[in-house]
Amino acid sequence: MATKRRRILWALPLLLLAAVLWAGAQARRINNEAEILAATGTDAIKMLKAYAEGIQHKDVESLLEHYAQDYSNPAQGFWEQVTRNERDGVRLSDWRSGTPREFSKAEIEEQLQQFLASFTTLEMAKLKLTAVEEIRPEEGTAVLRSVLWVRGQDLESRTFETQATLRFWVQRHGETLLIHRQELLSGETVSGDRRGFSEIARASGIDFVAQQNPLFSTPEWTPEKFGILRYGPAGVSAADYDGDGWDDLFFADGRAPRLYRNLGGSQSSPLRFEDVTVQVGLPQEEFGVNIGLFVDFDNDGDLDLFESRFMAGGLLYRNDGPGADGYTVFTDVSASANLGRGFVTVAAAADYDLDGDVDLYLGRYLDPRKELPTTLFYTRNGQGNSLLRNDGDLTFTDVTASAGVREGGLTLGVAWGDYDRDGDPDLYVANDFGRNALLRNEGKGEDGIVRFSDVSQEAGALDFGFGMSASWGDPDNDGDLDIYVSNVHSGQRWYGQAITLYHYLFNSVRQGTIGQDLATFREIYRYAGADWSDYGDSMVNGNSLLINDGAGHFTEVPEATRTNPFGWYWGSTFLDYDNDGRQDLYAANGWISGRTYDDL
Amino acid sequence: MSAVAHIDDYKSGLHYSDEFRGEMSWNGYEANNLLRNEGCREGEVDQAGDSCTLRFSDVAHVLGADDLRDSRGVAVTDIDNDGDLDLAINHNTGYEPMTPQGPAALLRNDVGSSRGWLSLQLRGTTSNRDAIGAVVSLEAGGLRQTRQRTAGSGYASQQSGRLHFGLGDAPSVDRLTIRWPSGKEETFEDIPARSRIRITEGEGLEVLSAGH
Repeated sequence: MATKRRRILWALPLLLLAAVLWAGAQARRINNEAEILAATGTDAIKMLKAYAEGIQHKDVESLLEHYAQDYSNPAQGFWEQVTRNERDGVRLSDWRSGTPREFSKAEIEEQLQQFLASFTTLEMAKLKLTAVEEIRPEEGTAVLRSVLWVRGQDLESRTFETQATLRFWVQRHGETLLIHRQELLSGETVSGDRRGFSEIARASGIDFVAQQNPLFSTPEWTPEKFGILRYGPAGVSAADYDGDGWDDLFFADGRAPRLYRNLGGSQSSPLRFEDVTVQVGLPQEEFGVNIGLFVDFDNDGDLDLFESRFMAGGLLYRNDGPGADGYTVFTDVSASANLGRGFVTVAAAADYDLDGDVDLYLGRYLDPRKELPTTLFYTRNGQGNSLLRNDGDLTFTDVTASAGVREGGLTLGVAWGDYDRDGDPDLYVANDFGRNALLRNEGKGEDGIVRFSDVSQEAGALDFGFGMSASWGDPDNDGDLDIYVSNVHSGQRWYGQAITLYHYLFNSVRQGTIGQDLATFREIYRYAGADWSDYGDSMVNGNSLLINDGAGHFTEVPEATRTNPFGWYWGSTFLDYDNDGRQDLYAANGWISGRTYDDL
Repeated sequence: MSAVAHIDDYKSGLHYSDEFRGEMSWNGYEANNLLRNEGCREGEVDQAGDSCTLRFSDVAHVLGADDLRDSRGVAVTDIDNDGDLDLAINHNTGYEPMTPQGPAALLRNDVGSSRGWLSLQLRGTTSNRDAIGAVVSLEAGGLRQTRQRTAGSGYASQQSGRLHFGLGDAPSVDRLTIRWPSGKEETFEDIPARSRIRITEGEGLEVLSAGH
């Protein structure tokens, strides 16, 4: 009863907000504004799509149809490209505006002719709407921000890619929007010969092909509520399990995970792999394995293997060294290991209690049969994560509750890192649909128990969005660990405005779902207050690089840093691929490829 | 947008069903990104003097590292021991009736090894044997780099246990400091570039190979 009352008290500000929204005039205004935003965005996308087709077809006439007859800008420059640097076969150029002069439609035509003459063919041309900056419905005008994004071959037959941010002032003429002014905000072109990396999986003997988890097709596991989860798997691990000095590869999978032994290679003989899954004692099939971790859990000098499973508890294989046939022997010791229940998506190991053996943190998602994310933009109905303490003899004890690290999000990324440099590992958890968590390791208390504090908000590490992976690194070489989180940079970002969220809240009152979602709104209110202008945008503005100031506070880099490309990102990681001493980033993109080329 | 207008539909799980999506792609055939760290913008060091506005450029497409499949996990490793970091990528199937998105990718790096590097293996004695959690700082060519030994990061993936540092044009590492999980700190100096070394906690440094 007392809990219930407290819950109601907590919800009061929201109920108040909802009551205000419910008030007739306000509700009509929100409805109206939301509809105008949606209509403007939809029409803008239509115009930009047609514009991109004009570029693809090098059709100046059709491009000029998007400009008003009386186009005029007293101070506009022609687009110019200036080389910033050239190395490793990559030329990098910045776009800028040349000397300002008066622009009419004739100058626009000249500019477009110049642009279209700067390449021979295009394999892709897009104009992404990134923001509707202003709408004046009574005048029929709007200001749009858009990114011109093309890939193709330039005049030197080099592959190039350009992204340039443009601002368009448009005016409605019946069904269509016409540009009556434009401005180049920034732009970048890279070109090269596509020979920096070679795809050698199949040629080197890696014949792995990811498969779906067959259990999702059984009555017991049909994901009635969140069917899309089947497209989530899976991870990959690089580890030298046989200690021969060549890293081996493990591909996790819905149906049949595989271990490939690296047989080595040299200048004269190409790199080769052998699928040794069965030879080392791992099963031919194992359903729902999303991650395998190679860790010397028993400190005997070789790497043991932990595998998560979504529909059952985890698996632990002890590395017993080479057998008579020369293959490493992995022995299944899961039965006594106490690895907890399923729904596991991700895992990371570290010695959190500094007792000399390596412990395990497991991240979980929701039960897709019964649950789906409460709202599109916030949920906390995950199955709960676990911290498993290694007891030294390949058995584990669940210490989640005493350590305070259950978390409640839909976890898709976990990474240990000592961000506060006090000698013990802290934990970052990236969650889908909502907010992430930074859990600071407070060390052993007087009772001998290690506890963690959720410092996400005070440390500036909430990172609202669809978090799908997390990594620690030091890209600014200042000695402390920064965080990279993959997210979604949606083509619908323009729609992620406060008005859309208010509209959703209003509709959830009207449609009677507010009761189910009250806790969700309460949490958003707790983190973002009642002004949701930034919240909506931060949900869909893409990957985040959070820079540590050395005192344990994080700030997301500005958009100009360009670590938030368009797309739907899963794996991401730091790496210094060009050995220049600065950590670069790789980010894996793509959600579900069907028959069309649509994005969200 | 219908998820905003018709919350009841959303709650039914409709939007997450194959039937709803049909044969449409949701961000299908999208390219992975390799974001090259361009360092700080000149003259833009903040007041603390220890950080600045970083800038990155996506060079995946023009280097051939872009992989259009529905990528999921990524593991970084010098898989061919040539002194630069390669990428192993796992995928999902995509919409099943379509051509498979599932084949794994191994992207061999053919550009990095033109510059110097150091590959470091750690072995704990008091600390856990894998030295997971050890933090290594390295000074070379005027840069101070920091890495930690991890086991599990990114999306459901594990990066190579060997720590890899790019050294640019520097002929050697001036200084390398390890903070082991046990709390012990050790420093080593003057390690030549293009070396593979192993450091065992409290027992010193072994050169596994040098000068490739």
